[in-house]
Amino acid sequence: MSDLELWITLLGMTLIAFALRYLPLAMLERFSLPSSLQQALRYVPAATLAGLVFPALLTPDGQWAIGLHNERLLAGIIAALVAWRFKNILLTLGVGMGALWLLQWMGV
Amino acid sequence: MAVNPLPPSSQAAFWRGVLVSLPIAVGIVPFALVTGIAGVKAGLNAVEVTAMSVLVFAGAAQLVALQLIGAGASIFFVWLATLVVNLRYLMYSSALARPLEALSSRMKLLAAFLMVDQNFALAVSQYSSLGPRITPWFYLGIGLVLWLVWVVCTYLGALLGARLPEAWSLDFVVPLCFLVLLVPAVQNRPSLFAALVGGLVSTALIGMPYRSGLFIGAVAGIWAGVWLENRQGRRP
Repeated sequence: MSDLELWITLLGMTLIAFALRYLPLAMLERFSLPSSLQQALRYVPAATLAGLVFPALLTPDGQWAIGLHNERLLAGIIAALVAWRFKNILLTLGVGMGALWLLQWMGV
Repeated sequence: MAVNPLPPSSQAAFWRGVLVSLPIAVGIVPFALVTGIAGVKAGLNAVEVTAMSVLVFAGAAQLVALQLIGAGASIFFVWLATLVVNLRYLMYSSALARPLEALSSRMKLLAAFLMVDQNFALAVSQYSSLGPRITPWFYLGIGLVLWLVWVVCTYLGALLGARLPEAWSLDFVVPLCFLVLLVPAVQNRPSLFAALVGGLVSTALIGMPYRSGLFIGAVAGIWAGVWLENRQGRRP
């Protein structure tokens, strides 16, 4: 990607991110989103974020790897339990990275 | 987070927001560092990746965009990814329309620019106790601190990035950051189903060019959540 292309990419991203945040805030005084769209939007965070997490844990090398030999899957499950139980960002990152390093060191 | 007693003025509310945001800001430090590191890995220099944080201010979208830029994706795909990963802001912005109603149109531009998961959640949950006059300033205080920390730590990450050894597997912090956001997003059976379908479809389609499986997975997951909610709703 050339310098010019990169800056065009950045400016487009800026406009997209801003428009999504601004339009409902500025316009909803006059009209509101249809209820079917509101319902669909409620599932965007869970569906999108899972799409970012699952591949990193289930296919660390581009291939399905389900089992005890997959250190990233095990460390991810441990981190998910910590995130769910303690709702603490730093603790989750610390335990997740610590678990990965320990499993890699043990050579599971 | 308890916020009491009621701040008397908009200025006091702003500083209350600043105070409340400090522990949250500590939490986004590693996320921002990783974004800076990812920028260097994708071939950007420290100024470019910091400019991205200044302008876009959306961690998940930035990390996905950097992965795509590093993989040589076209501009269109980077924009599409930004759109999909940031769709949740449509929902946040709709929910914030009432709590932020009192702001002038110019301040609404700033409020939209500073909108992230954390000040959305806090402003909506505190609105009933803070009221329409105070909430917007509380929200802006949180947003401004998080933006500053985000920008500074992205830059530090970019400076640090080139010196960190591969063997530390620091790229694993990226899915962990998303995991921290994913866990509270799963609140009931339909959202759990949306996450499972979205995650598994994205994983199955991981071989598709430019992470386009992410979009298909997101659509499948949203559809799954809506389907299960409607099915549960029809039961007596």
